[in-house]
Amino acid sequence: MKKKKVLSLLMTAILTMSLAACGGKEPDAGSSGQSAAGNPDSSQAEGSQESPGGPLTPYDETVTLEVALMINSDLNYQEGDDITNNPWIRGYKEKLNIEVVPAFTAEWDDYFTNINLAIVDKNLPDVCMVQTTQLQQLIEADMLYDLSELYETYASDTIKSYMAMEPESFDSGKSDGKLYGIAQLGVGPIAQINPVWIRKDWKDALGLEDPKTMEDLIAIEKAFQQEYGSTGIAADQTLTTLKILAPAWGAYPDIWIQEPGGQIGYGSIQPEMKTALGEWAKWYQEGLINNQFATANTEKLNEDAVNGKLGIFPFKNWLGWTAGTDMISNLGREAYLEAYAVPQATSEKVLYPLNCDNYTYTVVSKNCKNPEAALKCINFFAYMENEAAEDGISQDEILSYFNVEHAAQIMRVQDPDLDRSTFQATAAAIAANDESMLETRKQQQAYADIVNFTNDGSPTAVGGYMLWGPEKSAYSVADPIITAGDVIKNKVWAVTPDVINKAGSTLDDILTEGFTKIIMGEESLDYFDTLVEDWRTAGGDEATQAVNDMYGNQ
Amino acid sequence: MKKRFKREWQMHLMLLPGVLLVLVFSYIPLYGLVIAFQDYNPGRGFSSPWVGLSHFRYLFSQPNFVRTIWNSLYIAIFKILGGLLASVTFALLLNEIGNRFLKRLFQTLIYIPNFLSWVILAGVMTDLLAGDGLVNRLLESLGLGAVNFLGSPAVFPWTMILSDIWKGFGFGTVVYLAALTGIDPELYEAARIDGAGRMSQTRYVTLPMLAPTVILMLVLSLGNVMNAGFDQIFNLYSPVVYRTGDIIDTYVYRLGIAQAQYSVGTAVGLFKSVISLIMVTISYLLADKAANYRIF
Repeated sequence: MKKKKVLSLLMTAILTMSLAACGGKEPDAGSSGQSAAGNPDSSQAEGSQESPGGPLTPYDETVTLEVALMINSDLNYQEGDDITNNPWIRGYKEKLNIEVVPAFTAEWDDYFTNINLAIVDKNLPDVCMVQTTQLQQLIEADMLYDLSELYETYASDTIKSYMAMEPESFDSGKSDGKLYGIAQLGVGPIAQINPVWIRKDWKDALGLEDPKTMEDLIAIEKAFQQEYGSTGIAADQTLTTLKILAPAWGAYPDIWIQEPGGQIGYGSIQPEMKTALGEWAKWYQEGLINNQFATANTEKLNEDAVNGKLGIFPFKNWLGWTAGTDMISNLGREAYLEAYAVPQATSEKVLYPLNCDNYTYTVVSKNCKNPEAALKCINFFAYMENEAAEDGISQDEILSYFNVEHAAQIMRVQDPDLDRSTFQATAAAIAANDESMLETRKQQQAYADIVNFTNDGSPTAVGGYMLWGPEKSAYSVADPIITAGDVIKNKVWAVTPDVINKAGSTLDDILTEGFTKIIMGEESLDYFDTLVEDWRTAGGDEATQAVNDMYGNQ
Repeated sequence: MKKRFKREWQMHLMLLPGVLLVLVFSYIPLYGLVIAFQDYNPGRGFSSPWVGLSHFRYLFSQPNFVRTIWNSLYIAIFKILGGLLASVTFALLLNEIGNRFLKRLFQTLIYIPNFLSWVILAGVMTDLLAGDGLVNRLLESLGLGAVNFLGSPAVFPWTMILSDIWKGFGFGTVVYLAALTGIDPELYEAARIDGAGRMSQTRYVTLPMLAPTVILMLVLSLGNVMNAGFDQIFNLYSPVVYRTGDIIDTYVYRLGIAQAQYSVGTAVGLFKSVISLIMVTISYLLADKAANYRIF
């Protein structure tokens, strides 16, 4: 047994060394991807076949890649196409000479169950998409291909530039300095800035000023209650909406932040949170928050908004779809919500919390014969998104790919700046009233929503309008915040320490339950201190320790 | 012995599929319980590192876990007892209805809620029981104060218990009705000759004859005493009622079954099974002592 271990260690050492050596010999993997085919380099690990060097160079001989594909029932394939046969699959074959065969196809939930089974079975497909926990399990079980060298060689500059924007997310795919999972990234920080939504028609009719301070916001709510019978600022049982306002008091619930002493501490237990809770308790007493909030969920809030009982709604940027559409249909053309930045409650600037928005990784099985093929497919997605048009590929052809964008879900890295650049490009086109300035399908869609809503007040376009609109939309509020860097990043990025995973949401539940009591006045504000004590003994101290161990000296 | 087997081997053969099924689906998976004592990683399977009782210690060190045990027991026991009372009462009442059509109608009506999913019912109940919902408006128009059915820790468990009884008692009623039709009519005749009225017939004939079925149902349901109804509570509770409404299953769900915490999940399952086993054994012994009723 011991001998075997030593042997395998030796083998690994030799392999790593030879890999490193061949990495050095590779031609510069940069841009063009036209380097000589058939590099006679036989020291590639695990007996991988000879392969051309560049990020997008097609193989000489067809290479088969077994990929676990994800079904997305929202996709509208053209006649005869499906998840196993669509523009992407054909593109991999035609442009890269990679034949993608499905290991299995499944929808989101089933997909990850299947991955779990594959892990238990020790029979991972060549390429698949995994979640953070699964990545850790796979690394621990030593089932993944070490992509460190291949990434350097094969990942295109575009992919590398994406990763450079989100270095923490990229690093979360590593273990002991080796790259095992390619972070797929998200739509970027702009989507995480949550605004305060205010009913436009009410505010206009009463001639109220835009809120700058928390007092302004309260004055608006009071006016809404008097004139329109609003039942209070939106609040729900999980305190999601109120927590969006918390940064106004310098409180950052649910994320890990640097404490004044240099240690990392949990935002929800800081003294600023107590201040915020004190304010909310006063609000509740004065009827500024709905007295039924403790049992309300977000659906209930949406209902209230659609029934004209809500005027102020701090929420995510997609509110236009969840409530906006029905509000326009039920309450009229102008009954939508406008976005505002979180108003200040102190003299301090409001900072917005940012979390890691990378949840999935593309991984390659240790037994894969052509691991670099996966990277080429990933490059291909970014290429189609960015450079294909310049290379003379027709707009129609590109559209045929991106009409079924999610078919490429398993092997893609998202552009973390996509939403922001789309917003900026669309806003510029709207300002110039020039449709020809639009370059991508996403920009065209955003533009169409804005125009449709402005001209016809179409209820189906209000979601897009409230997100992309040129002013008082979610992104028009968020864009300058990102530019100014008024954000505070969660210290825990992507990889969460085991003790926290183990507790699930139960640690937070202790706080949520107690916070609710404080707001409802069932407990005094000083109960906060007892609560923090409870949280710490229930595992909070351990969690804090683990977070500091993991992220402390960064 | 050998002779008997020779004579009865066909019987044993017929038993085989059932035995095999139980073996494959109930006994062999018992081996999986070892992951409660391991730090289970699906990639490494059952050879994951052993951690002894650490998952159990972790669970019981959680201040909010212990209260969920009491909540589960409290809610489950009242659900069982209340359900029993309701279904026996309704079975007796239905049994007295002479009109066949009406009897069938009521039987169907009370059985229908049993087929609705809690996910749907929870939506309906949230609307009905809201602060400005139908029920509270009714209460207010009757001059009674509004009740915070879903938001008050004192009321919440009873909202759960009563709504569950309402949803489920139809099934029990049907079972007891079947048992009632099985009672020998001669017994009633004899009772009538002895001068027993309706009430006395029920008291001295029906109830004693129904007792074995009642006890059987009770013993069977006690196996579920740690299952206080995840579907129902999960869809209706909120942080404000965790103190009295959080049950083991909902707690464990939040603990991260969603995040594939296999070991902790198994530890809880094992713990629940042990408690259930104890409860079933006790109730069985009691049934034997008190009613001289045995299943085995």
